[in-house]
Amino acid sequence: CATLPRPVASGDALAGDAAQRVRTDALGLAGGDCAAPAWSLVGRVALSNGRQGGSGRIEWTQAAGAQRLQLSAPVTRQSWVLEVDGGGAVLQGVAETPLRDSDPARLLREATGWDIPVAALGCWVRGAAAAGAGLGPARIAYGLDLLPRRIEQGGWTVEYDGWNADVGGLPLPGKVEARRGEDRVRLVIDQWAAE
Amino acid sequence: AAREDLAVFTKGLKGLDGQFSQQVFDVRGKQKEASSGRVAVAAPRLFRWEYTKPYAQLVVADGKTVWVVDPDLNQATRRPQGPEEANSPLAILLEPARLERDFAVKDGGSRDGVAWLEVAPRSTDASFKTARLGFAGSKLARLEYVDALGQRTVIAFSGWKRNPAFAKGTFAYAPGKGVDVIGN
Repeated sequence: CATLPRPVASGDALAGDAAQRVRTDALGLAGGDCAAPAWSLVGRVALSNGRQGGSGRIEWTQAAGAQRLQLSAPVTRQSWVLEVDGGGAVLQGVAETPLRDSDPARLLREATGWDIPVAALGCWVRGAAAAGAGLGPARIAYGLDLLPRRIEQGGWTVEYDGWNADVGGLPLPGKVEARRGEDRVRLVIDQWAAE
Repeated sequence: AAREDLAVFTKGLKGLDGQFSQQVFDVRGKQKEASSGRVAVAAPRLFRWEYTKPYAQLVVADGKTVWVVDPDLNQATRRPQGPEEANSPLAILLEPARLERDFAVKDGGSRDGVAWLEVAPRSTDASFKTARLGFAGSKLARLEYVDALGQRTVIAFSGWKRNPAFAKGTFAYAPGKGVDVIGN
């Protein structure tokens, strides 16, 4: 299947790692906590697991260790909301009553069939490896602009495109695609905001 | 009031083509989103909901399959057309007899020139809890949804063409080369 355009030349790994450290520290991700510090995005997401697919509008806010993801379907904007904090995850809008689980990824998988590494995506979506998500080490390939083109971690391959530096001058990606086997999360980010 | 407007609007109606603008408000009433585009509906179960602003997205139903096409995401999702589409308020317009059978209908009064009809699907697998159809000058001018999380979607219609001759392919979608097609 067609994916994001392959970079022609890749940037030097050492220089890339150095630039990456500076950028991720500036993003507040030095401690590897993907929920830090406070940011939000609005965009569109397409999900697929090989059998089924879906797409819709996504609003994602993270602040002080809590995450809120809202996905809305086209036209009726029927939506579901996943809220995650220290105490666990709550999913509303899928079933009649809110669903709860300590593990957000398991909650989503069982309720919707989507396998979305929620904890890691908070870092991946900003072009950073997810240190604290128990996915093991990451391998990063950089473009000539020394920004990540691809991060491989925990069996997932995450690819980036459309980097722009709108939020506080820090480059953030415009398109992100995370794939593992049949599961795929493809994001177009229309708006970044640092709360 | 609204019921008479509905009767006038749906009399002999087999197809509609017009423009829409959509706003979405969160539970606290803050506008979250504004979009617009073209909407076309035709008997028996065909519809085309084409967003052009702020970005392109197409939802088209050919009577058997619903396609959701996101060019920026390079993905076209297909699924069998089911009750969700049949319960859409726009679908009622082409089958007004179904209104009383499949929906609880209440007159919603009228304010500043718009006469409202409140509809609630009797089936639980509809994609909305309640909807309101607003008529102005016996034409459908507004459609509002409130979803289970209290989010309100307001759609304003304009430029309705009644029973137009639809171009071939209006209610069809063929994925181009390189588009990822997902779904059964």
